[in-house]
Amino acid sequence: MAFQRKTWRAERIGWVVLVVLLLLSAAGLFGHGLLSAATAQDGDGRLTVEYHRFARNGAMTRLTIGVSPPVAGDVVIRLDEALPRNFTIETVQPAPAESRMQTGGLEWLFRAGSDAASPLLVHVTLRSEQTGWLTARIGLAGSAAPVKLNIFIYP
Amino acid sequence: MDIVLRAAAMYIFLLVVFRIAGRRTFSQMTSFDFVLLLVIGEATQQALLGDDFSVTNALIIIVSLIAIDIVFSLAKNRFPKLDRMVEGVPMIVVENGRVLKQRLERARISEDDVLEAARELWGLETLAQVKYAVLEANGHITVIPKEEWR
Repeated sequence: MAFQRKTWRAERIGWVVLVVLLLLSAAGLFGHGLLSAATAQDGDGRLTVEYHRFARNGAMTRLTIGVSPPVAGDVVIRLDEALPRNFTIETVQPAPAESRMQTGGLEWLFRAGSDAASPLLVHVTLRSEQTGWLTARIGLAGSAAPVKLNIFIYP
Repeated sequence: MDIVLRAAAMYIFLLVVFRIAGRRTFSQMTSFDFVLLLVIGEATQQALLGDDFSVTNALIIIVSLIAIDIVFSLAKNRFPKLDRMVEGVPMIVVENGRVLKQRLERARISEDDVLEAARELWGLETLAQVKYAVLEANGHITVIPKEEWR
């Protein structure tokens, strides 16, 4: 009976752990939730990136790149190699007019319309291919302090 | 967030559907029932996993389902009404050798099913030897033979 009592106690502790895990995942510790949602801005305050801090290997994650107005003419967004290396970039909306290689990453060129008052938003869906911590940088061409994204990818 | 909700939704949905299907549906499984169960499992898997095949996702879903199950079992202990709603109650279908036809019909079981249980459990030959046959909440039929046949 003493052993049974121990088992029961272990069970109760296990339940608490389960519930805590459940609450944490509901809160977004494992992706998609309050804890996971993050917003980062570059040094000039022109580029804002909304993304998920936590991603899961093989699953989709999204990020939204916002270029604050005035936006007119060509906008060049520069990504370092961390994103392409760790993710398959599945969609970019709107599609960049041009995509080109760049030392240590790639560049997307967008042609903005004449509506200079509203921010340009680029929605990107990514599918992760690695696990672990990574730091990615996204910036406007010529920006000295690009946006830094800290992402953890669960297995 | 979405995974936990998805798991909860599927749990509740399956609970309701299987409750509606009635308790005899899967307790006496034919090979077709077995295949049906597998297909339902496949469909459920699609709904639960979506296109996310990560280990983390699978773990969260398992944790969610188990946790919901534990919560339900605790709640059923605490609230007998809920227990009745979710599990159903046992029902007498044969009383002192007399078959309660209407109940059998409503439960979609036949006299043969009762006889089968009587043979299996006690080696009885006729329903006249049965004191009580009960359709249990889990869909099984249990038989209590009359004194002289025990």
